Amino acid sequence: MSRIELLPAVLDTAAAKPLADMLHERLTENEPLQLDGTAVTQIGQACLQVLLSARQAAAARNVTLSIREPSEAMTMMVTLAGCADLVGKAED
Amino acid sequence: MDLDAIQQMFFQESEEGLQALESCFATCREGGDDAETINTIFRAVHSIKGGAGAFGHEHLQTFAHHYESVLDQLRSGGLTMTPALLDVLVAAFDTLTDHVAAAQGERSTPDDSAVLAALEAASHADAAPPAEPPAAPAAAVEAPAPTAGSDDFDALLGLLGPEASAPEAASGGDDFDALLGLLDLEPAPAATPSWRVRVRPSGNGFANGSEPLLLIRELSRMGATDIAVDASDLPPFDELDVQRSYLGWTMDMPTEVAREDIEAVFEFVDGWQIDISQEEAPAAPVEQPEAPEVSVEPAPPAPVVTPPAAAAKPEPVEAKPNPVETKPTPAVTKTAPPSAEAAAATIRVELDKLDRLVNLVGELVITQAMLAQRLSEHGLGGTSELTSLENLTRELQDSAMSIRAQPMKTVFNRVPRIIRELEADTGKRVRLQVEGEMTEVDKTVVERIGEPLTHLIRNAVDHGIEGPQDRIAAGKPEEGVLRVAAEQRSGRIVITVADDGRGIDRARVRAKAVERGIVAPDANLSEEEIDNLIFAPGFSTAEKVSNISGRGVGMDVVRRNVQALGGRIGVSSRFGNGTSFTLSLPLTLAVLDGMIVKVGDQTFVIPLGNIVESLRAQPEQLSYLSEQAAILDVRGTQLPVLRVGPLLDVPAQTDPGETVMIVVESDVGQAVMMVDAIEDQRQVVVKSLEANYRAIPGVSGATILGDGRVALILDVDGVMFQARRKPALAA
Repeated sequence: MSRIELLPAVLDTAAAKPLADMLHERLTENEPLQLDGTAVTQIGQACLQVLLSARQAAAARNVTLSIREPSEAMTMMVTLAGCADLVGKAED
Repeated sequence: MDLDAIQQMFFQESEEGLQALESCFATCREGGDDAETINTIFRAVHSIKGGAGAFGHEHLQTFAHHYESVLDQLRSGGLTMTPALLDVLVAAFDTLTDHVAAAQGERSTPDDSAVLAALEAASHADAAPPAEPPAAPAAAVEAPAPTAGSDDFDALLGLLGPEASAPEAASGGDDFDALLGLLDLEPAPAATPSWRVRVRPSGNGFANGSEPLLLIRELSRMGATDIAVDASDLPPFDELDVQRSYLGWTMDMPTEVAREDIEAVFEFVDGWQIDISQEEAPAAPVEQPEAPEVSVEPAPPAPVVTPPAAAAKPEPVEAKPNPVETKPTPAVTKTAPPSAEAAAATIRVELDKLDRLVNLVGELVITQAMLAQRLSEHGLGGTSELTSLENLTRELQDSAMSIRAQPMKTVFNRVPRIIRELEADTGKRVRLQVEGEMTEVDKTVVERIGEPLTHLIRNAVDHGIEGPQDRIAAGKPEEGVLRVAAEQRSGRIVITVADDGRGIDRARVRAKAVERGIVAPDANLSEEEIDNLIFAPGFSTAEKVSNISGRGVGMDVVRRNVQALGGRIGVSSRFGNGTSFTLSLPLTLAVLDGMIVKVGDQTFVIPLGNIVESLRAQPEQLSYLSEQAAILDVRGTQLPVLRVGPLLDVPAQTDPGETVMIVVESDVGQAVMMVDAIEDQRQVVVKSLEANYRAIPGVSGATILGDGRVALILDVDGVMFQARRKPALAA
């Protein structure tokens, strides 16, 4: 059983801090975490970095952090940025 | 410099680019479609596209991209210039202008579908034999115009081409393998040489709202493949500063893309590491595994995502036989596009700084005058040092003013489009003649003359020039001629808008003026006076209201706008042969040649531009309608005497024999200003009353004299208007 967090629609630079704070909090719970990207309409580098770094931290804790159902916009931009694996199939 | 300022610079450069385009198309119309002209057109459109991409103006960027594609074909010989193609390119230019205006928030996004379709059709004109099916509408071929805001990333899908809207892309769900297929937007050539582009935003790459991913996306659109992220600098999550940029990218770019085009993408960023080198691509596809392995290593500093290409890329091999781009380019901080060689001769300066300089020079001129006055009081007025200082000051002032000067070209360049639109709206044919476009005038004048000029041009085409049938019937060429000219004359700029149309129908103008109560039915009016009736407020002879020159309220507004610039407007016309409007404007609004006069204990400045002559009145020249209202006979012409003192509530000399009569003229005719004495004639620095105090009727501004006194600058038109309201004080 993993926890699912809904990502906000706009993941721009301003959204990076709240996103990082949320992930910090969740990661301390040491529970598998799924981020639902259905609603994401835009994502910028700042949030992309947060996700990459958080996933790295999760892996260090042996916690699964994955993105499920990324929107087309999210998939497109993340893929363009060379991070296609980030929006890889969510693990259950 | 913040992002807004940089974007403002982009818009300024876009304006300049658009002006260059207009000139180039005029050259093309005259058969001058040589390679250099076509190249200039291409470069201007390309620059606009690059900036639009950097600032997220999707519509503009998309349109410019299509436009540029056709231009590229043209410059590479794939298309040949024909009148039909030129028409398409000019129409596209107009739409591009609208897109730029929309990007600046000055208008809504234009509907460009028809022009895009025309561009698309034009791009196949030479290549496709007639038997081939007609080109599909552009909108269906590529890049449907995004409907969301300019920064809406939803639009990305549309921008990525038809693949993005393929069914599998829309499948959604968690089938990412299908989505990953989108990556293969362009099959990378197996063994062709390519540019290797390495990009790393500066640490504060997000400052002022910058979004590096937009530029990566732009590179992708230009054909970048194998985009690999380098996250090796990404710190552990606990140490991550969300406001700092840690990522870098490496990608391959086909050599068909010019190096300067790649560099142009980074034109508006600062402090980025950008390295563009050329190398032989490996024979086999390098990377982009369908499901890249993610190295999730416990050791925090290890790179999270390091595709092979980014980490283990061999050093660039500088062995490409491309003679143009063989020099190795080290990683640079803030790109300097090589095409900037021409820019070295000019620099951009904020207008505020310039205005401050001009203002300071004005203060210096005043101080110099005060010094001269003080020294002359001590018998030292004629020293050579003082004369040198005066000359230097005047030279410095001229130089400072010339920095603000701009050629009228910036205004005249907008005229062809206005004509094109008017031709389309009216069905008339108009040939434009432009003269004196390099005549320089102060920036403020350039900025504020556009509106009245546009109105005069619209008026000339709408009301002046006849339709083709009428012209032929009148024995004229089918095509009307509109002449727009500028020249410097006696320290002023004179702008002429002349047409060879039907001219002013004085009988009709007079009848209309009588009907509207503007003149009395029995008024004895000269031809000139009748012509000038068209400037009367509310006057209109248009039988039907058109959307071109408005509702006939324009000409009085034109006159007011011109007067607000310290200018005058005149009209001359020959019925059946055309009308000519002449605008006479000061070259600058910051200094003024004036006559210093005394009225009572006050000192005033009368602009020399208004002064015809000055004289001492002989008693026999004066006739009195009342005790206060006098008429002066100036060589047979009876002119009303305006007593400046009473008009401005200043106690003054009342005996005409003891005063000086200054004959002045304005748009409403001539009059005589009665002042106590003339003190001097000199150039004065104009200080705004509105900015420093408040507007005063009859006074256009103020200046500071050499002795430190403030002198008001008389607004001759305003004083004459005041006199009409106080008729007892005038004739």
